[in-house]
Amino acid sequence: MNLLGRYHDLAVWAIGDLRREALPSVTLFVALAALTALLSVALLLTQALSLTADRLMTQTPAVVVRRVDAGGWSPLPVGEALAGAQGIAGVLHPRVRIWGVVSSATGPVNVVAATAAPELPPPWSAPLPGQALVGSGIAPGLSAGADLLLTGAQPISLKLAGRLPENSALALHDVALVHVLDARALLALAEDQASDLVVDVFHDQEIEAIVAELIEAMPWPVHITTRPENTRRLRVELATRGAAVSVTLIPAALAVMTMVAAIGLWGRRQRRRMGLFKALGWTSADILHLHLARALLVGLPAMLSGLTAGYLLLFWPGITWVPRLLFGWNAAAPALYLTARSAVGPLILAVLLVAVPYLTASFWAGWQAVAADPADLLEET
Amino acid sequence: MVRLTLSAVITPPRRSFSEKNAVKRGLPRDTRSANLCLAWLLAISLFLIAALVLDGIARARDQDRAAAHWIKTLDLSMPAFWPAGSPQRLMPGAFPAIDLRPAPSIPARSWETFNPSSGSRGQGAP
Repeated sequence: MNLLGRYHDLAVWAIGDLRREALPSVTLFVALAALTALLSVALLLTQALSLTADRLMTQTPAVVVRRVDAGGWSPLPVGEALAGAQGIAGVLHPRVRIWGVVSSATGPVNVVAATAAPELPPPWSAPLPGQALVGSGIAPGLSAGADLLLTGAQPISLKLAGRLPENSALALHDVALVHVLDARALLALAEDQASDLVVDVFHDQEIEAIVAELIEAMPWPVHITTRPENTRRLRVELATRGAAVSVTLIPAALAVMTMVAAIGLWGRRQRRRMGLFKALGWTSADILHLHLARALLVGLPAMLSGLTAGYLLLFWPGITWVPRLLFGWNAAAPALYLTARSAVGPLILAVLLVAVPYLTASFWAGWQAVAADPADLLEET
Repeated sequence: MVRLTLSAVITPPRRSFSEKNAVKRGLPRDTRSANLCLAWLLAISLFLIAALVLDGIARARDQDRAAAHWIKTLDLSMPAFWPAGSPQRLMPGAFPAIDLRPAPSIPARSWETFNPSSGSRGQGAP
């Protein structure tokens, strides 16, 4: 209890010191908070994006089969494609998709035919012919009931039946869910044609073997992409973009060095005062503890504030600065809802990168006074 | 009523824990306010730690779940990190000679941004 009381008294003394030097203390607080926020964003960004992408990619089809010819992509005959895929051992749920990219007044739109999908989660229901459910990035000014003009093989005007949820913008931001008849008309697909064929597998290890069999089973040339390929490619793209933000680590390192130098200079200015304390009976441990208490009283709340700021910058629901900055969105950027799983490691690393040099510099500033003779310290001007 | 009035007269003004502690120990007013300041700093720090931990566990951990559900429901191949129609979004791993326009009326993309390192698989590519 006495030990606790002694530390308490030192902390109170340190607060008195900090209040006497209010401006430098506030400046130090702001600098530490900003530095921690910058480092935590730089360290968290790539990891949060990659982890979210990985989690989303696990929900995508395992294998996508697209028919190609000398002119490129060509429509897929549904009956032949399904018959070919169903004969392969290990292929689960072969199904065709009707989708494609068309243009709208606000930019390219991913048109997806709703009937190809299972039942939509409530309260959404599959759009009727002439209707469209659209993501938040498509014609954001339009409200339900307005006309939406989509231009593919032919221009088609659809009634806006509703908006898809914004918290799913990473899936639906520029998706227009339309009836299969409208999708076929927009994409110039006949009744027995689809955009591509997708299949699932029981284990991802089976994908390589199934791809070869799918190529053999299809009666026309096909181009096949797999989920592991797509995931790897997405990771590389995200890491490349995230690396651009990591460049901020260079000025952050310079800022840490400047802060250490400033604390060292401040320690030199305090030497006479510390000499006075020693002459009055303070022990070396008291002086070191005072320096550390003062450092912690500013540093702990500052670094926690910085961590909170960095965390909120990335994990606040619906952030848009990341897609604007990294992914080339100009107008309405998708609202990101990134997962905060495994955020603990980068956050702790960000704190350590700031706290270790900061506390070391504070300790060193105290040690300079402890190691010297009180008489020498008092003689310094 | 009388008891209430008397208790109001007798009861001293309320003080915070740190102030009471400071008064007991006979500390001057400056020290009392420093105590208060210390208590606030500790309280803010603890609050921030608790808020980060609770938010990370309760909310932000699975806030991508809705998007994952829609990707599965609509059989989408890619999350919407990039705009629709961009090479990163439309067809990863494609051979650049293959025109991947699902609709013939859409203008061809510039292949300058194509990433050749991603490779391709299939047969019949020109």
